[in-house]
Amino acid sequence: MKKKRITKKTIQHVLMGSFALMMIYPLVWMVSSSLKKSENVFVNSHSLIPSEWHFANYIDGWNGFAGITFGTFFWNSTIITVIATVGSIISSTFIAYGFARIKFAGKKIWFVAMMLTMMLPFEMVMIPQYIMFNKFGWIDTYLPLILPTFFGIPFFIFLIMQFIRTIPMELDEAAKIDGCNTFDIFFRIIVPLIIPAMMTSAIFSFYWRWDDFMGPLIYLSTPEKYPVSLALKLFSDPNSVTNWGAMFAMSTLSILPIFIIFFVFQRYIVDGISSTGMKA
Amino acid sequence: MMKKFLIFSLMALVLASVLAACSNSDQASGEDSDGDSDVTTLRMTWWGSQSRHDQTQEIIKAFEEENPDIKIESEFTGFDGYFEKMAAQASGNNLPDIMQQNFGEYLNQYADKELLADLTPFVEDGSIDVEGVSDTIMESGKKNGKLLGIPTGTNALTAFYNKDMLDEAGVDVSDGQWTWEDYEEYTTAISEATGEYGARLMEPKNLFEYYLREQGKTLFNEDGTALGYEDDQLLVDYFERNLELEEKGAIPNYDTIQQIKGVEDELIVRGEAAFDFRWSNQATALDSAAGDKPIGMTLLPGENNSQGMYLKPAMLWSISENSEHKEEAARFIDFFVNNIEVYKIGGSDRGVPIKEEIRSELSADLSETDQKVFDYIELVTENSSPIDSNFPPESSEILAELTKIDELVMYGELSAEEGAEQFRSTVERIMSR
Amino acid sequence: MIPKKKEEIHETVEPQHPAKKPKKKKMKPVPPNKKLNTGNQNVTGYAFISPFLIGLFSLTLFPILYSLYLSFTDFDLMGTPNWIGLDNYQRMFTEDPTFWKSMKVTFFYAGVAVPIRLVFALLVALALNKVVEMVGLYRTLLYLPSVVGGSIAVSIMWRQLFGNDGAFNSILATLGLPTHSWLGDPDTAIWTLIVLYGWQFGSSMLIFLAGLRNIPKTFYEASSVDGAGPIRQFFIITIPLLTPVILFNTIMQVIQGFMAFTPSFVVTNGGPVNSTLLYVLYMYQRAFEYFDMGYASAMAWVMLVIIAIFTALIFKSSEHWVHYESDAK
Repeated sequence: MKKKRITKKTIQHVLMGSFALMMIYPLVWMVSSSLKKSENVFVNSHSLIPSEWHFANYIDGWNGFAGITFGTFFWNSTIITVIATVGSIISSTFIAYGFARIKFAGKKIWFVAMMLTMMLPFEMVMIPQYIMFNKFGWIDTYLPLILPTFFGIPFFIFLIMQFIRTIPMELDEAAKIDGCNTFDIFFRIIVPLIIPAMMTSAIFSFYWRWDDFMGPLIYLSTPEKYPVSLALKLFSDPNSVTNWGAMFAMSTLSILPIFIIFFVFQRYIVDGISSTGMKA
Repeated sequence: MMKKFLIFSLMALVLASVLAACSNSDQASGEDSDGDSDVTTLRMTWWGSQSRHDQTQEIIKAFEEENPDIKIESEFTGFDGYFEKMAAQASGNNLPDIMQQNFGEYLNQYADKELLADLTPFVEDGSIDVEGVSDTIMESGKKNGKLLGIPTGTNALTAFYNKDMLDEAGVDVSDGQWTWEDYEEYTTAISEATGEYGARLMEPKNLFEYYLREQGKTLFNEDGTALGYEDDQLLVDYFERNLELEEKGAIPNYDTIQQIKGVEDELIVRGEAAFDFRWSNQATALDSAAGDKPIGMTLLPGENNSQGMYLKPAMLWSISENSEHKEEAARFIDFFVNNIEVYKIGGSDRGVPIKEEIRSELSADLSETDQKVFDYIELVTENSSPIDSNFPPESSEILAELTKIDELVMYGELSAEEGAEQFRSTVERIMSR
Repeated sequence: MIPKKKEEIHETVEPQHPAKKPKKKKMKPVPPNKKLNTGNQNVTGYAFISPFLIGLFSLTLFPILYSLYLSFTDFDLMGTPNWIGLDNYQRMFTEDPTFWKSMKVTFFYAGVAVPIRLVFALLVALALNKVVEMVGLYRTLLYLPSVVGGSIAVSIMWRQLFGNDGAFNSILATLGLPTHSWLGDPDTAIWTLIVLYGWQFGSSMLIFLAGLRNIPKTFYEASSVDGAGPIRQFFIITIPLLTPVILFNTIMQVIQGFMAFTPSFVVTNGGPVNSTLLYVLYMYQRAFEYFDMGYASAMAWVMLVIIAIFTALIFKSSEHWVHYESDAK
C-alpha cells in the first residue's frame, strides 16, 4: 500500500516536472542568452549552454543609459507598482462587494458600463487620454500611471465579485442576526474569505504594472523617471547595433521581482479558505 | 461602522492628494529654476540603442560646456513607440524643442501638419552653418518649399557581399559596374559554386523604387498623387527576375526570410547568401555579427545605377513649431553639424557626416568598418542623383501593400502580371480616398 | 452572411440604451414596499461603488467618448479632426478587403485559441490541486511563461522554435514525421500564434486554482460521509462551485482573445500575406503607421460591439449553468 503510494507520487512528479520544464524552456533560453556574447546570441541560438560565460552583460546592462543605471529604473518600477497594486486591490475589493452583495438602483447599468470600459484597446484611447492628462498638468509625473488604479480595475472588480458570489448568503444573514451591519459583514466576514481572490489580483496587478510599456512611454519624458519595462526597450534599435546580451541580462533581472512576488504571494492562495477553515 | 468606511475613504483621498502634491511641486520647482536664472532649458528627443544614448548624452555635455546659457533635457526612447509618443505629444501641443526625425512618411506627415519650424532663416543668417554641404543632401530636408530638417548624416542603399563566396565563383563587383543580367548570372554561379544562396530575396520596399529610378522612372509622380510609372511591365520584370532566381534556387523564398530574427541573423551574416541589399548604416551590425567573413560594399546593379542610386539622410534634426526657443535649438543643430567633437564621440552612428571637412578630418582615426562606409558614401556621392521626396502621406500603406503583393507573387498565388495589376489598382483605391 | 452581421450590430447597439431606462424606472417604484431597507441599501451600494463612479466620470469617460467622436472624423493623428459622418464605417464594410481579412483571422484565432487555453488552464489547475508536495514550485514554474509576455525574447524564441531547423521540426524529424516551414506557410503561421496563446495559460490557471482552493473542504467531507466517490464529488461539488470562476475566465478570455495584439505584433507582424493579421494589429497599423486614426477608432468601436454581443450572450447563458452560493436558497 505504502509502496504503491510512493511510485504514484514519483510518476506524478516526473510528469509535472517534465511538463514544467517544457513550459519554461523559453525562459531558460533567455537566461542562457544573457550569458552569451551579443554576437553569439543568434549564431548559436540553439545551444542553451554558452560556450563561455559572459557575465559582463550584466554589468554593461546595469550601467544603463546616459549615466542612469538600472538601479534607478528598478526603484521607479517598484514605486509605481507597489502603490498602484495597493490602490487597485483596495478599491476593487470595495467596488466588487458593492456590485456582488448589495441591491441598489442602477446596479446593472453601472456593471455593464464597467464591462464596456474593458473592450476598447488602450492604444485607441491613448491619444485622448494624453490630451486630458496634459490639461491636468500630469505629464512627466507618475499620476497618470498610479491615480486611476485607486478607482478600481474592472478585471479585478469582476474577479473578486465572482468569488464573493460563491460565499453562501447564510453567512451574511447569520452575521446580521448577531447585530452586524453591512460594513461589519464586509470587513469581518467577506474580506477574510476572499483573500485568495485578492492575492490573485495582487499578483496580476503587480505583473501588469511592472510590465506596462505603453503608459510610461507616453506619459513619462525624463529618463530618470523611467521604469524597467521602458528601459528595456532602450537597448534596441532595428537599424543599428543592439546590445542583445545586455538586454537579455536586464530582462532576466526584471523577471526576478515578479518571480519572488509570485512565489511569496501564492501561499496565500493555498492557505485561503480551505485551511483557515469555515467550520464554525 | 459608517465611520470606518469614511475614515478609509478619507485616507485614500489624502494619499491621492499627497501624491498629486508631490509630483506637482516637483514640476513647479523645475519651472521656477528656469525663470530665476538666464539659462534656457531645451527639451530634446531621439530614439536609439544603448550606445547612442550614452554618446548623445556626452555630445550634449560638450555642447553645454561651450554654451553655458543653454541646458538640454534629454528625453530618449527606443525606436519602438517613438513615433506613437511623438503623436501623443503633438496632439497635446507639447512637442520637444529638438527632435530626431525620420526621412520619408514621418517627415512628410509632420510637414503637412505644420508641426515643424522652417529652418531656412537660420541657414540664411548663418546660425546653422551648412556651407559646402551638397545640395542633394540639403534638398532631402525640404518639403513644400520649407527646410524642415537638417540631416544628421547620410546613408545609401548598398549591395553588401561576402568576398569569399564571390571569389569562389570567380566573380568581382567591387567597382560597382554590373548590370541586372550580371546580377542574375552571378547569383546563379555563386549558388552553384558554393551550394548556398547567391543573394537574399530583395525587399520590394526600397528596391523596387531603386529599380524604377534606375530605369529613369519614379515610384510616385511629381506632386505625389499617383504612381510615377505608366508601364506595369516594370513591376512584372521585377517580380519575374525574383521568381526565376528563386526557381533556380539562387535566392530563398519568403518562408526562409520569415524566420530571420534580426539584422544579426541575416543570411549573409551566417554565410548562407552572398549578396544582401540594404542600408549602409547597417554595416556595423553586419560586420560585428559576421565575424571573420569579409563583407564588401558596392553599388546596386543596373546599367544606369548612378541614376538609380541616391543619398538619404540617415535621420534629421528638426525644431518643433511650438518651441519657444527656436534660436537656441538652432545653435545645437549647428553644433552637431560643425563640431568635430560630435563625431569623435559618436562616430558615424547617425550616418556619415554631411560636411566634407569633418569627413576628411575624421578619416585618420576611423575604425575599419567606418572607413569602409565612408569610402562607400564617397563612391555614391559621385554616382548618384537626388532623392525623390515626393512621397504622399499614404506611402507607408502603399509600400506595405507592395510587400504583401510581393509575398503573394513569390508564393505563387498571383502571377507577376496579376501582381503588377493589383498593385496599381490598390494604389488607386488608396489614393482616391 | 456579412451584411446580416452589420444589421445585427446596429440593432443591438441601440436597444441597449432604451433597455436601461425601463429598468431604472422599475427599480424606483419598489421602495414603497420596503421603504427603509432599500433606501438604505441604495446609499450603501453607491458608497461602495463610488470609487468606480468617480473614476468613470473624471478619468475614463472622456477618452472613450472622444474616441467615439473620432470614429466619425478623418483624424490623421496630428491635424484637426473633421467630421465625415459614417464614411469610415462605410469604407470599412464596403471597400476594405484587409478589414475583412483581419476579421476572419481574428475570429479563427479567438475561436480556436480561447477554448484551448481555457481547457488547458483548467486541466493543469486540477492537476496542481491534487499535487501536494512542491506545489508552490510547480505553480511558479507554470505561471512563468505568462510573465515573459510580449517581450523581444518571446518573439525571437518563437521564430527559433518553429524555424526550419528549429526545435519543433527536430522533434518531428526524430519521430519520422515530415517537417514543415511553420512560420513561412500562410496556412500554418497562425497556428504558431495559437500555440503561443495556449502556452501562456498561467493567469487563467491561477484564477482556476484560486477558485478550486476556495471550495470549502467541509463540502467534500460531508459528501464523503454520504458515500460520494471522487468522481461524483467532482461533478456535484467541484464543477458547480467553480462555475462562477469558469464564467469569469470565459468572459475575460473572450475579451482578450478578440483584442489580442502582442503575439502577432512581436512574432510575425501580420505576415506572411496577412495570414496572422489580427484585428487589433491592423487597427494599430492604421492608426500609427498609416496615420488613419479616425478609421482605426471606428474599427475599435465595431470590435467593441462584437465583443459586447459575445459577452452579453455568455452572461445570458450563464443564468442556466452558473451556480452562485449566494443566490441559492
